Order: sequence, then structure tokens, then C-alpha cells
Amino acid sequence: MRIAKIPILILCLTISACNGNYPRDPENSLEKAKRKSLRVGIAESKELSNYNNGNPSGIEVELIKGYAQSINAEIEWIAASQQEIGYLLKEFQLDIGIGGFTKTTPWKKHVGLTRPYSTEKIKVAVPKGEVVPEEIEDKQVVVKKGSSALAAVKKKKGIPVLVNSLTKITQLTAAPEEELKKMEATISEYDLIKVDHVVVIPKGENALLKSLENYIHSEWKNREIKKSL
Amino acid sequence: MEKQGDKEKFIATEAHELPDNLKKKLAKAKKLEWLTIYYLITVVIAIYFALGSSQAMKAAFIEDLLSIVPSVLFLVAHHWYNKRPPGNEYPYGLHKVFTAAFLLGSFALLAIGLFALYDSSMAFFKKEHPTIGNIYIFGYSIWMGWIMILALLWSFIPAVFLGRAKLPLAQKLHNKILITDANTQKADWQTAGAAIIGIIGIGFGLWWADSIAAIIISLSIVKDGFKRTKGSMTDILEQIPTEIDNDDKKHPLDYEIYSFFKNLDWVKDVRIRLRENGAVFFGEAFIIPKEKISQSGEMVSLIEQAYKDVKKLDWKVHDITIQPVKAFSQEDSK
Repeated sequence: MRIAKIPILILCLTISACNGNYPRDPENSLEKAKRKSLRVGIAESKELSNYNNGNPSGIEVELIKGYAQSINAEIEWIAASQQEIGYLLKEFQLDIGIGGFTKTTPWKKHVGLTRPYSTEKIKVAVPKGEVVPEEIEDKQVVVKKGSSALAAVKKKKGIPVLVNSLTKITQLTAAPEEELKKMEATISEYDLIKVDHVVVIPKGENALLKSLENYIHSEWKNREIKKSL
Repeated sequence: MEKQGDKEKFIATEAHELPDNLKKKLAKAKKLEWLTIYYLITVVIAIYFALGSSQAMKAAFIEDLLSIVPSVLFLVAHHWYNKRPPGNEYPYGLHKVFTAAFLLGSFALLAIGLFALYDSSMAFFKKEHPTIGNIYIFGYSIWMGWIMILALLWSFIPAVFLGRAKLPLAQKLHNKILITDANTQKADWQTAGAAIIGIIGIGFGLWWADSIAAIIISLSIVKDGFKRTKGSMTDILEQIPTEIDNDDKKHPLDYEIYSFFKNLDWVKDVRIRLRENGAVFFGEAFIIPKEKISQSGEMVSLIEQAYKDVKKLDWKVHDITIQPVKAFSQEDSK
């Protein structure tokens, strides 16, 4: 190829890309969702998403409902495991998957991820008046059973002390920042880990991704701010 | 390494001096190589931050990273070459350091091509649809594809000029690592161009555009890398000197050297051997002198004169050993 042709070709392609309908979906997911319905795979995940026999609830469910409304699409809820959601998305048999997916999901090779709709910061806290230690290595840390805070404590080489529920901070404790803020405590500046919550979509459906990310960036984030006021 | 008594034992080849105009070219080439290294580091950083799941983008990243190799090799080779003039340890001088660098550099080019080919073919056959997200700057949503293209343009435009500036220098200096480097820049901008087209294609919903663009480019890099790796091998095996950018074409100097000896008035017949050591030629000339010369005593001074004169043909003619013989041992040698 002659070198002079390349910039011209690029310029032509760029100009024709500027008609608004860009980027497009190779499998037309967004168009189909608007015409028919948005097929949403929903896996159970604590307060994030619950199928409830066809009456779904949870933060991620609210997010998807809001998004569907913003593009004027009906939702078809499909109860599934994360595993099934991964497989179905890979074959373009779902448009969106929810249920506690994070930025580091092992499925990320096979599915597309949106930007995080919320970031959970796992921090440590001590009773008011005490000093938060610089690190938790070899220290006893109170954590809830089966929480991501437990994994974070193990990762940072702390010694977990398991409890069923957190109501009061009596000693060094690890939990999501939101939860710690509800109690009387001095909270660490640093994060043990950050958990980025995302929504998953079929790989390469860049128009759907753009429209969903636009919703997350503008309306969803604003909604969260309004709620906290 | 150097032993007592070596001083009386060895005679090293003369240190090679480039003609003045070429010295300037060499200094310019060195400056360009430093510039290339700094430039490529910025490119690698830019692409790293824009790197998404685009196949061609990944190929461009690996490509740019590996394409620092030939520039570094050129400078390292020069460093060693200047540091070690011909002496008792390296009596032939360090000319072949460039041949070694040429081998490594061209192999790097081949490796770049093979990697990019493997990676992009896999993406194509697995039907991987590249997902490209968005970023938000001052409230505006921008498709990451555009940011990638911006980074790729930085890998594209300066590389064109760098490559073009080096090519004539490499030809004049008969420096194969430099020409490999110039061609690496060519591979750089071609990869970047293909990646840009691929990303724009993704935006049109053509998921395969990206991997196809990457496959085409990697094929051309593989071809180039293979040609050069082969060329560097033939240099090591001491093939007859060839044109700098065409390994199948004999260098015209072999004929000039042959006719120089053939036309000396005391020479009855001559055969020569030549080899490339880096940028310069070494060789032997076997001369059958005319009969009246071999009987007179002036042959040694005639040979010494011819040794000095043949070097004036071209700066590349560095060291030709002249050997008087009665007859050629293999009359039919070609």
C-alpha cells in the first residue's frame, strides 16, 4: 500500500463514522433490544440482585430497570447462574447479565464489562479515639463470615476473627466503608481492596456498551448522589 | 588474554577510518537512534494506557516494544566497536559486531511478525469481538476507540519520518543493522495504520476488521524479518559481499577489485576472495606475477603499493591480503 493512501483512507472512514450511529454492534444487540426486549440474565447475589420468582429486586435490578426505561425497552428477566450467564452472553443469547459481577470476574475473557457502576472500598476501623494501624499483617481483624472483607483480610495477611453480624466496633474490624460509616469508629484512609461492581454484556457489542455506560455515568451516578442527600 | 610476547607475534589490521563525509552521516545516524529510543518509549507508554481488547492494538504494542531492539543494538554495537580498536586480542577489529547486531535485530523483527500473526489469527478464528468502552471527559462521553487511534497516530506519523531519514544513511554507511532498524520503523507505522483501520472497522460493527488488518500486517513483517534473518546468516557464513538491501545481488565492488589487480602492469593473472565484516570488506588476492617481475627483486614493494592502492577504490575495501602464487590451485573455481 502506498503510504499516501493510508491517511486519506483513515480520514474518509473517520468522516463517515461521524453520523451519530457509531460505534455499532456487530450482532445488533441494542437495536434488537429496542425492537423486541432486553434479555437480562439475573444471578442471585445478596443485596445486589434477587430473582424472587419473577419479581426481581436489588441494586443491580434497579439499575437495569432504569436503563431499560431510558431506552424505552421491555425487560425479559431470565434466572440463571453466573456460569449460565457467561455461556449465554458468549453466544449472544442474552443482552445483559447481572448478579455480583466485578471488574476482576474470571468471565472477563468471554464477556464484555461496563465501567463500574459502584466501587466498594473495603477498609478497616477501630473504636473512636484509637489509632488505625498502618497495616493489618499478623493482627486480629474482625470480619463478617463469607464476605469479601474476609478475603481482603486474608490477602493482606491479617488473622480473621469471624462474626455473624457487625453491630458495633470493639476492636480492629474490616468491612465495606459504607457499613463502617454507620457505626462509631475511626476508619482507615487506605483501602484493603477495592471491589468494582460491573454489569456484563456480550463481547464487542459496542453500541449497547456505549448506551449502557452513558446511563451509568450520567443518570445512575446522579441518582446515587441524590439518594445520599 | 594478552600474554608476554604477543607483541612480537601478531599484527592487527589497521583501525578503519570512515571518510569525513560519512563520519558526519554516522554521527547523524547515532543521534537519530537516540531519538528513536526516546520516541518509542513515549509510544509504548501511550499505547499501554489506551490498550483495550483490540487485537491490532495489542499487536502494535508488542511491535513498538520490540522495535526498540534494533536501535539499542546499533548503539551498543557502536559502543563496542569504538571501545576495541584492532589489537592482539581482536586482530581483525570488531567489524563483525555489526553482523551480530544485524542477526539479533532481524531476528527480533521476525519474532515480532510471528507473534503478531499468531495472536491475530487466533482472535480471528475464535471470532473474538473486541469490546471497546468509553471514557468521560468534562461530561462528554468519548468512545475509547478514538483515544486508541490518537495513540496509534503518535506511533504512525513520527515513525514514517524517522524510517525515511535513516534509510539513505544506512545505504551510504553500508550498515545492515541500521537498515534493519529503518525497516522496523516501517513495520511500526504499517502496524499502526492497520490498527487504526481495524478500530474504525470495529466501530462500524465489523468485528473481524481488526484481526484481518493485524494478520495482513504481521504477514508482511514476517516476510521482511525472514529475509533479513537469512541475510544476516549468510553474512556470518561469509557469503560474497552483497548489496545492502538485496541479498541476492552481488556487490559491484568485487568486480572493481578484481579489475584493479588484473590491470596492474606486473600482474599476469589474479583471483580474489571477499567477505563482509560488518560494513567493510576483507579479502585475499592471489596473483600470478609476470615472469620478469618474479625474477627481479621489486615484487615486495609492488605488492605493498598495490595493497595501499586497492584501498583507495572505496572506503569499504579495508584489508586485502596479497599472495603471489605460481598457479591457482583450483583452476576451475568459480
